[in-house]
Amino acid sequence: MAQKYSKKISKAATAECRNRRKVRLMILIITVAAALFEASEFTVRNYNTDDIDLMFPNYDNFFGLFLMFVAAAFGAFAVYGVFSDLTNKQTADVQLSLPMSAKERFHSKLLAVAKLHLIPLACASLFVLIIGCVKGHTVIGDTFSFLFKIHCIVLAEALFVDSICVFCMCCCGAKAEGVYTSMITAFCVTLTPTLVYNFITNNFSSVSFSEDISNRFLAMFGGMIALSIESGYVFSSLESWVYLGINMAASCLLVFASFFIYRKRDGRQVGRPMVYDLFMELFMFTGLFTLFTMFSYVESWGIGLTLALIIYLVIRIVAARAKITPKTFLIWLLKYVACFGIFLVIMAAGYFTGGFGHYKLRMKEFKWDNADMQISTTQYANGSYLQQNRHSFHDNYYVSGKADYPYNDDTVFRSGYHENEIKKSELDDKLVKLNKLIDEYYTLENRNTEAFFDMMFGGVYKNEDTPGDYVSVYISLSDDNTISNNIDYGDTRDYDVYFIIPPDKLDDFLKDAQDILSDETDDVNARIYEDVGSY
Amino acid sequence: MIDIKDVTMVFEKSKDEKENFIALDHISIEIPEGCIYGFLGSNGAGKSTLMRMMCGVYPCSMGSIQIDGIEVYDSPEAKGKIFFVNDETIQYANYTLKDLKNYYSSYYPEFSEEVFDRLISKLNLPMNKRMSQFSKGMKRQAVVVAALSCKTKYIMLDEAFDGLDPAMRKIIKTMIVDELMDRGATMIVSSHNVAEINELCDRAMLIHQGHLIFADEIDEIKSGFCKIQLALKDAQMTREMAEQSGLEVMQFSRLGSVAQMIVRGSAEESMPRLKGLSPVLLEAVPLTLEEIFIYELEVRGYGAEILKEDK
Repeated sequence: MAQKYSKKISKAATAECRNRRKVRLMILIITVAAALFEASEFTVRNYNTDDIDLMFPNYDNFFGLFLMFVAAAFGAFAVYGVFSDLTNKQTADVQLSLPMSAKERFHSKLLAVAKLHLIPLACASLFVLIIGCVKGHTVIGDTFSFLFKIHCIVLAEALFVDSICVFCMCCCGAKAEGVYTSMITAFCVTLTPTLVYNFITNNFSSVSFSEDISNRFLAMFGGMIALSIESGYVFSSLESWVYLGINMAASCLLVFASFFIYRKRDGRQVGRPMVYDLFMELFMFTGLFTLFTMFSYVESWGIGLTLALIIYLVIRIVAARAKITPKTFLIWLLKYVACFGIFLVIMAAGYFTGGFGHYKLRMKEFKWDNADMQISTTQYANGSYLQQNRHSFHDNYYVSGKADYPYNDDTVFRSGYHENEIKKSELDDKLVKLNKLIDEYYTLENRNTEAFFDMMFGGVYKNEDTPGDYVSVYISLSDDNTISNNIDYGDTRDYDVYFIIPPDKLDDFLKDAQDILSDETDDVNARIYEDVGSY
Repeated sequence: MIDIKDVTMVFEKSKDEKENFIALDHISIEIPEGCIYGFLGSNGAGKSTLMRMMCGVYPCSMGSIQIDGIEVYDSPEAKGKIFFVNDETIQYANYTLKDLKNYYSSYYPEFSEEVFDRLISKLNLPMNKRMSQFSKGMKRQAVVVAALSCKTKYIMLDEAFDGLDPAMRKIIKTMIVDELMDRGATMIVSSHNVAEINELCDRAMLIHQGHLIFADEIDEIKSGFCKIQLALKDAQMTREMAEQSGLEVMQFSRLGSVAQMIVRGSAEESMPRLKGLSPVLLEAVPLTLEEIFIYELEVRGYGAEILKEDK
């Protein structure tokens, strides 16, 4: 029975592919070119330092890889063609009357997309992998994992593009809508979470930590997977695979959800621009939310809101394709306003909760050879800083000699500025105290609606240039392995937090800070002069 | 047998419409096996909608359509018994005939390459040329050949003979009838050309604005109407006089002293009723299906508004 079913699906998919010769040819040309370029550009580089002689896989040029990602994006054409029964009345008449159920039709179409797009891409990846392993046979393990991971990312991107296109085609009854909604949705899904996250971490919590794991959700779905993994959002190899797996599974889940929509569709909805009102509203909301977030960055709300409104109305008018009455127009405007309202509410929630609790993020331990701690304060009166009231505390410790890693509590660290030495347990104790200091003084009490609107519309970020009297506090912590060149564990970890305290708490704060960090200078410029030797 | 039971089709209103559109309203027809069934109706009457429902493109809003006892919507088994040729051929523009053959042979297990090749060579159609380069008539021929080659029990042709010249119409019709008769298949055909339906079909139904007007054997339909010409010796015949005689008059006209009327019922039933008026002229002329079509729709006011404006 299952064999009969799969044979039927396979035959139908083959028939579907035969009708998409142009798309198939287009994708094949790109994938073949991508594979050839990438294979020729792949190389094994030699990395030499005094202590280390390493071979590692890399590319001479990234054009081939770029083409691979282009080929991944070309899946959209395959989907638009294969699922044309949802948007073309004549095709619907033919395909819906064929002796297949909706389930069989959907499965055969997925198989057709795989045959047209995913399989050629996978074959191209396999080709690159084989050539790469031949070229990098000296470090075959590294080469394999390097190339395999990159091509899984390409596949994840291809799956994402295909899944979004399938979903949008299932929700639209006209090809134009299927095309532009999928392109816009893919863009928004990829970009918006990153923009919102960065906005929240930069402006609402003012906490940044290179080892922050909360941003890993960005890799879970959408086109950010490549950047997320390659830019170090996800650190260990195992985690990369986990997030790659989740990303692919999420795309598959979207396709699975699309099946239920496809199954509900019949010939009646063909030709209707947007079949489901809910999809229309979600699409408009996602698009507007992305635009609003983008305009939050560029701080030009006047142009931004107008531009967003124009784009919004154009899409509404195109999608409506019917008589537009003043009432319809008014409803659209109200929805636009409501969308902006929701955006502001979400942003306000982020602001008043310190980036949804992100402000509580702390660096819990020093891991590497070189630990650096710095606290600086600047007092402002009527929005202008007071030069005479700037304080800076700075401590730097590096591991004394070449101690075995991981370091234990008794490992000795030497100060970068003084002759004194401390044990790692004492260094960790300083960190605990620093975190307590942040806990005590970084509260959300001073947050108010006025400051929120200043931040959203006045370009007042990180509370800088806030009118009134206050003290801004900046604390930065970092550790790295630059002293011992311990390449096996090589990493740099940076943490910084920015917050403001009322002027009446400055003395207490300085006293507490001085208890933790020994070295103090009143003038930051003088500090720099001491460190660098010149201005 | 195709059993259409109390079928209603409602298209939900779009945003600029006030009400849902009822395309078909409680239609019930039985299409027996081995017949050629004609779908007649005014433009927008619902013929194509009904055909799409019969092949599973649209689900029924109410009622059911069963092919050999199986509900057709989303059923591969039922849909495997019926082939639908719609009124467009643009979807095949990029196909060559070879592609068309490969396409349908992938879906219909009974597809006969022998029939396909034989009919294509009979019609002298180019096998490797894209159908976008075909004339409208050639495209029609190709699709009809594909339909016949699938060897389904039922074939539905929506406006299938449009775009064919009279000679080709005859060839195609003969080809269809020969192929279908050989295997006892059923053909359902819709056309605005009532004479064609009259000539080709043994059964027909008439649909108007979603309502079924009649559905029967063509001979039965024809015998249900007759055209009577009548003249009285001393008086002028009126519509009221005919109706008082117990006739259902669908159309009445007079030219001089000769009255002409279309009445519902056979000549054998109607003539004796008028004999009481002692006419000097009384004769009955059988009606063509086209006349029945026109009179039935006229009775329902179809085209009346336009005619009124013209006057």
